Amino acid sequence: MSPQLILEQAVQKELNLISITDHNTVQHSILACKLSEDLSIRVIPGVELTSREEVHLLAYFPNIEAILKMKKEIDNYLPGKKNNSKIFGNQLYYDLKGEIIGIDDTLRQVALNLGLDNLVDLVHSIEGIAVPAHIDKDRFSLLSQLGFLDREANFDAVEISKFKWRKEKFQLGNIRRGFPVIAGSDSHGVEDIGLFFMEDSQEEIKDFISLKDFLKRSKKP
Amino acid sequence: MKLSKIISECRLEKIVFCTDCEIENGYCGDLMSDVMAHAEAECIWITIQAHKNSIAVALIKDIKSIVFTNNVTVGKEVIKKAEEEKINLLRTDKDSFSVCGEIYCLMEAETAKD
Repeated sequence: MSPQLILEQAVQKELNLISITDHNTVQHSILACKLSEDLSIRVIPGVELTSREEVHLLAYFPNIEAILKMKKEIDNYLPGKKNNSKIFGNQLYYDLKGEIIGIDDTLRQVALNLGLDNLVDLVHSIEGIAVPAHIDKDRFSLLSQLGFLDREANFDAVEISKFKWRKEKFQLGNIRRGFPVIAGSDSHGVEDIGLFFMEDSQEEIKDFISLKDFLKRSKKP
Repeated sequence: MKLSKIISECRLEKIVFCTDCEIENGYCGDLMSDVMAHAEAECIWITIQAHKNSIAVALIKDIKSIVFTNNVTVGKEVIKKAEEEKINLLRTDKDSFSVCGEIYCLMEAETAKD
């Protein structure tokens, strides 16, 4: 999926605020931010990191400069192996116009050599927000890998799957074991975009700063 | 078998050592739910999962000794929690397969003597 196509779809679906969080890579998230400059839709730079325990962790950043710092850390903590496209598919690079300009041959479907709590601290050290992804899923989630949610952990929120969000009728601002819950569409194809979104009835979450602020206020000590 | 014997025979690094307990069986696993379901109390647990939640699992299962393999980094928080809860933490640069094999052979030899 090219960032250009994702934005086109997101605008069509009337989404106001999105983030592209690829696995252990930031390139397309940055492109989407650049593309959004000419549009009304806002894009938060983000990435889906894999901790040493194979827990997926969403990280959102205030600006491109911050996510570039994260990119350096990712490169540092990845094992430096080559991707096997037969298993994981080709990782294509797109440009702003949506043209394919290359193939990323770094193995990214793999854990960073850093434990979850340290990874959270790292994200915080570059002013980011750290949110364990889809914690209720049976693979690559906080609960599947580490058994339970520690109330004392330093997460800014927890992401639950869209299925659970619907089933349990969650709303923005709801709390689970002290942490605010969020959810995303987790779109892996164009057709998923806009099928799930969170509603912000107060219309207060407009960008990274207001999101960070909202989560901070919602969090229960 | 005394834990201290396993430590010296397998050349394990002591990160936290509080009690030289008696070890009669072991378990190897990295998934908390699996360990909670299958590990026996007071066993020696071999894992790469050096997270604070491992200490909690050890407490629930009454496991007193954990061996972290592959020379994994053990965070301060993990060490502090283990000290508080009196859980022995050991580490090795060997992988789980090798260290399990070594401990297993030691225990088998001990049983044969009896």
